[in-house]
Amino acid sequence: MTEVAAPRAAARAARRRRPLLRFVVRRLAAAVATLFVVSILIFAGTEVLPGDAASAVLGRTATPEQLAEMQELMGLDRPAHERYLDWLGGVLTGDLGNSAAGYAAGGETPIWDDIAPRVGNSLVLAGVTALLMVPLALVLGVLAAVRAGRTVDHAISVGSLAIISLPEFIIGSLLILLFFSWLDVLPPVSLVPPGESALSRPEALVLPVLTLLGASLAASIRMVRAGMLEALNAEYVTMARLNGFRERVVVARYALRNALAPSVQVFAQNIQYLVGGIVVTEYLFSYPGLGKELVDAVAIRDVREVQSVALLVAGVYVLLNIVADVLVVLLVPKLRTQS
Amino acid sequence: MASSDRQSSGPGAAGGDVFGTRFTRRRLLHGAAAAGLTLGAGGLLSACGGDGDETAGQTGTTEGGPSRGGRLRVAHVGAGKGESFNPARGSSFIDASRYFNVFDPLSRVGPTLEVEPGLALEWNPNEDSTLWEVKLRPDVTWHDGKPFTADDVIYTLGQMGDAKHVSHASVLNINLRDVRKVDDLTLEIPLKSPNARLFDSFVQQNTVIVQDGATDFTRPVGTGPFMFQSFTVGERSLCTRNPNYWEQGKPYVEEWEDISIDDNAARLNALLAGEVDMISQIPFAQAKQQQEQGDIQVIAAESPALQVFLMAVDIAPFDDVRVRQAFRLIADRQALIDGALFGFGTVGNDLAGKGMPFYAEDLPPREQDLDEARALLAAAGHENLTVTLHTSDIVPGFVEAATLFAQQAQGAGVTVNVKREPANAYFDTSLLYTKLDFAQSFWTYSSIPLWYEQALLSDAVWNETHWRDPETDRLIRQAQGAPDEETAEQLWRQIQETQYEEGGYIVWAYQHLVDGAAQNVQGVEPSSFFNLGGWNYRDVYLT
Repeated sequence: MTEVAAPRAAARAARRRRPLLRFVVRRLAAAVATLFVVSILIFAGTEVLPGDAASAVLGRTATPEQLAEMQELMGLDRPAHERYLDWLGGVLTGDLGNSAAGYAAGGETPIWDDIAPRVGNSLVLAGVTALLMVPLALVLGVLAAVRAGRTVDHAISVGSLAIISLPEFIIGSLLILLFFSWLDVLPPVSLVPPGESALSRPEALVLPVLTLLGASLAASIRMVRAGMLEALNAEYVTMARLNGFRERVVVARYALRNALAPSVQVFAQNIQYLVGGIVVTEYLFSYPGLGKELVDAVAIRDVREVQSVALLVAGVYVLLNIVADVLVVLLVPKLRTQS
Repeated sequence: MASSDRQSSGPGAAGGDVFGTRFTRRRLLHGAAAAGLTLGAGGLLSACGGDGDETAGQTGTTEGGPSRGGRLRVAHVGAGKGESFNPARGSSFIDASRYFNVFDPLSRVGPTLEVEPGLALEWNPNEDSTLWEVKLRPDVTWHDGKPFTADDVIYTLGQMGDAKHVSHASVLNINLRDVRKVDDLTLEIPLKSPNARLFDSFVQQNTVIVQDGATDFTRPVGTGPFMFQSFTVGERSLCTRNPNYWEQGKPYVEEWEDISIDDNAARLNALLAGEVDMISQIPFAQAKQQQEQGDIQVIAAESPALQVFLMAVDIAPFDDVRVRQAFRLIADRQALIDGALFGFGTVGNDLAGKGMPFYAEDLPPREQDLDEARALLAAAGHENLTVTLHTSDIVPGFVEAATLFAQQAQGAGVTVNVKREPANAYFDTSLLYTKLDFAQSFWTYSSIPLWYEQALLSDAVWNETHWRDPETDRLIRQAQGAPDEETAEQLWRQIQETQYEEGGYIVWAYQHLVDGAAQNVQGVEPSSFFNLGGWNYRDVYLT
């Protein structure tokens, strides 16, 4: 919040001159407030869960003394508001505390050490998928809209809808069957050795990325197609056509830009899902991502880690939303001038 | 070379005689000492042969011996955040794999269930087996260079005295306060009641010896063949060869990596694709297929390992013995073996240890009898009973067997809802394990006394059927300390009869242990005790 309040005069001048900057600053301030509220909700939500990490670590046969000792070690004996502030402070300074798994082994391992490589892996998988998803969705969506009602449109619609109707574990299994068992060209598992980037073995990323594309592409294509159809029927497009512009120019310069505005939000939603919600795909390919990390943390009731991962994912959501909003404003001049 | 041996131990191959040997205490001790001698001589020979450390680190065949070097990558079902190198804690396959290869137990179990010396060379009881003198292996060093002594053993026993240690049952009969160090390599263990086979209780993965004073197992220090390097919980661990291991010249590989791959199909795929070199537990259908296809080695061992449905005897409706009896009559065991294990098993008779010493061979085998089951349930007032059976992917065959049992139960008017639990939480004592009223379990063990001690003593952490009966406790202790074979036989028979009539177990199969390895992996001897040659990586080499 300090960045927002800091050089006020300069910021005010900038705002007057640059409505876009003003918009971004406002959204960032709102994002910080949102994340603050989210942090309270996450903390309260995990607080009401039965059992705590100390009893999970010690097991059924623990004596009350052992339990108290472990709770003190893990800081679970302090009142809720103190623990919340401690956690929030830790998040802001990058110190998330120690993991319950470490305590179970008798030592202390920082939560961040567990999460960091997973965050990297998840971002790589989501990033590569997004890099392919956006252009593919645009090309196929526009193609379907331009050829609306014809064979190409039907093929694209039926194909993408058929694939999205299959659960990820079926798409993934079929891909493994095809590319590993039959053709033997791609590895069926995507193990990432610790300390290495997931990008160091691109062939291992192909099948998970294809699986995720299958699960996310259809919605994006449908959205681009719908937006495009609407734009193509708009009066300004008709006007452009009447003015004698070639169809390619009409589509690219007049229709597409306006058609993109609603699609951008759908793209953002899909990418958000790719960062936090792909446990099934991770499991299928043994890919060490954030989803499995979160599930494992929930199993041992490591509340600290669950809270931290949840807040991290929430942060990614908020950030992507801001990026999407800014893109929309850039795409549609009307929104800029109005505000 | 060994692949033909492995194939022959598949289903339908010669059985029974593996466990036919009768152990007497004397023969066992004798055998143990002899094995110790052989090991020592072997070490001496290899030292003379000169295949010492200079060849380590590079793959290459030393003259006449196994090749050295390389990284052995092994995949198992993981245990999520419950994974650790803390032997007090884990009950999962991957935990056993890690504990056995970073640490050493006092006694080892060989491929045909013979007890061999580990860190303890001699077990000498007094006249009535109430005081044991244990002589330890000399010249063993910890990974940090400290010498291994009796203090380490005494400390480990003390740790096991903690009620939350999963092998707590192993020391219940020991007067821990009076365990005494005689000299650096000798200790005396006084017992509360006689036990003629104390060493039986110190062969399992959780009874491995930890260093005196060790509490932090995030960087474990052991005496085992491999030294800890790094660990990402729930994902993988890396260990390097211990150049000072007491079995001189071993291990052969330079590095060993244990990887968690929870999904059974993904684990096999990883092996087929060459991403890993060995896996524990192949799904049985694929094991059968691979035995014919031969892309990989199928390592199959006949074993007394138990596939069971367990009923908690203190939770309704299973607190009524008639319900337990009815459920035992519902199971069509051969159908379960054919359907869920693809033949990799033999029919179980609700008791552990078929073919082992003290097994009650003469109790009549149970057949499916749905009418009788129905009658028993009606008598118990449980017509139209509905129960939930908890299962998990953690052991191949679990889910299939649960589904089959649910179908069989319909015949007796029982509705069984099958609930799948997450594999990496299933055998975690702090989460699901031992808290379920009707579930599945899997046991490996080396003798009947060991199994009863770990599974049915009131205070045993693994007492999953919640069988808490002072009479059984007393009988188990008496049987362990019986002065002669006949008395022991008689007492064990009595214990088994109670279990056979009233226990909470439906032991439907003795399951073969089936693992897989790539064609270039050598030195894995199928073991009846546990998967992957009893988690023995010290003899494994890559070609």
